[in-house]
Amino acid sequence: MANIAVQRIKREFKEVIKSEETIKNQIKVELVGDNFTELRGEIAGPPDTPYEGGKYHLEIKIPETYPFNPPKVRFITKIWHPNISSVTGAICLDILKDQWAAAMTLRTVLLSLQALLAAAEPDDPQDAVVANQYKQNPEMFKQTARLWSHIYADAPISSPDYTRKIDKLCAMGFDKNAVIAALSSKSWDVETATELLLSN
Amino acid sequence: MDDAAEDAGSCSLSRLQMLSLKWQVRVCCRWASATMSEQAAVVMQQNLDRSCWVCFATDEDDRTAEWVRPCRCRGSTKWVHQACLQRWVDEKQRGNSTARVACPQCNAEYLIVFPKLGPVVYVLDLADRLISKAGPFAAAGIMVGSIYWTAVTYGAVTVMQVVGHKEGLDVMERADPLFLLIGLPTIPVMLILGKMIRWEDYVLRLWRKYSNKLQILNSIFPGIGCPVPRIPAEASPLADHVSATRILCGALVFPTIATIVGKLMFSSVNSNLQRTILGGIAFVAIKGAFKVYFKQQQYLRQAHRKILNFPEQEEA
Repeated sequence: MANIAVQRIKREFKEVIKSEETIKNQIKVELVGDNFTELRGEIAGPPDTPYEGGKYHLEIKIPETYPFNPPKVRFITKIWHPNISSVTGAICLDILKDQWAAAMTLRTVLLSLQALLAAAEPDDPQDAVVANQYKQNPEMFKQTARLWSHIYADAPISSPDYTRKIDKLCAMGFDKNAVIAALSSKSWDVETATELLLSN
Repeated sequence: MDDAAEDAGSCSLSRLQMLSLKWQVRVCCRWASATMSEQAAVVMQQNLDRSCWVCFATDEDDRTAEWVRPCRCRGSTKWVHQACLQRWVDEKQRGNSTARVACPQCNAEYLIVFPKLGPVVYVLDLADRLISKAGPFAAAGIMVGSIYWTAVTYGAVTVMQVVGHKEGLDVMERADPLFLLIGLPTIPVMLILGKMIRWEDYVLRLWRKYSNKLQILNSIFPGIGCPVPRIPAEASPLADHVSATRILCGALVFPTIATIVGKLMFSSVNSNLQRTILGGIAFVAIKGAFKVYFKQQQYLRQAHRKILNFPEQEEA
């Protein structure tokens, strides 16, 4: 990898480690391997959002041409959010695409992602199903996002009603992740979710 | 937050700015890397302690590098290495070396200057730009010119074919050159325009209208006078481009056909011109008659078509 990229990532890595947010357990980075091309990030779900209390893991890949091109970031932890794919974890955020600036750092990227969790943009969605629910039924979106946070990101609060539905379908022998995805995308209607599961 | 910070990120960081207000996270890179008190210290001694916003190296890391402050930004994004910014600009321009590039934070356009051109290079540069601008026009001119000369040649060949080889050459030699240059290319144009008149259709329409009154024709072309059970939908004749190429070829080959028909049918006529005209008229008339007959038969077939019941399957 180009020297400039390694130099910069080393500095940025130190910056994150020393930052206030890391001390407060808001963000975290770890190295994957020892050549600074791949990192593991972690952000805390922001307060007063359905993601509160959750820990979200991120895959960060540093391109050869860094910092002239943005890092490739993806959620490893499953998350229910209009701008993040519920299947792949791909993120729709302008600064990770054409609005990237070389002055941005790992720290600002992680903070931006945390900010994205606090303020979704349903009109520029990555996951159309989630964005639709966000607009049509905000209360159900909140409940669903909270449930996903509880199951995948260790957030404390859960929803007993939704959990019951998940258990019911799991008892029929379906895979738990598939059940959660099916129920979430079918407005927690057990019948249509079962149909979707059977058709797959 | 200083003034420059206010208008910073009006495009690229708009979302972040909105978020930061809502959420009290200062994500913008300019002031994000240091707390406010640290920031003040940085501003105080920024010329002594510069750091590049691309490679993050400071004066201490590289004492020889050339520095530049290309935009309104202050604080940690004020200074950048000349070489680093050049690379960033290259990345943004993507090969288009005249594209404008602005600072992603404060939106100020970078002032990019080139070394002064020497007189020779200036002239070459001017010539290069003129030629590349004139290119499309020249190409269009050559295309039009080629088509024109093709038309002139076709006209001349047609004249020799119709009037006869020797006589044709004589006529053209005696004629005014300007008249030839205008007159010869109009020959193919007139042929094509003439071919576009679909006189058979008018004949056919008239025929269908007055067919009851022309009892004799009914004996020649059976079925024309009969009442039809339905009016078929008509296909538009010029719509598909197959018929456009057909018109072109038919029009351009017409003088040849007229000559051949003239020679076959009117060999007693001595004048080449008269014989060819007679041949042309005979060809058009015979072909028209066949066409009218063919079209009418197709029309009747369409009109008499029937749709059958679906064959019922016996239940097992």
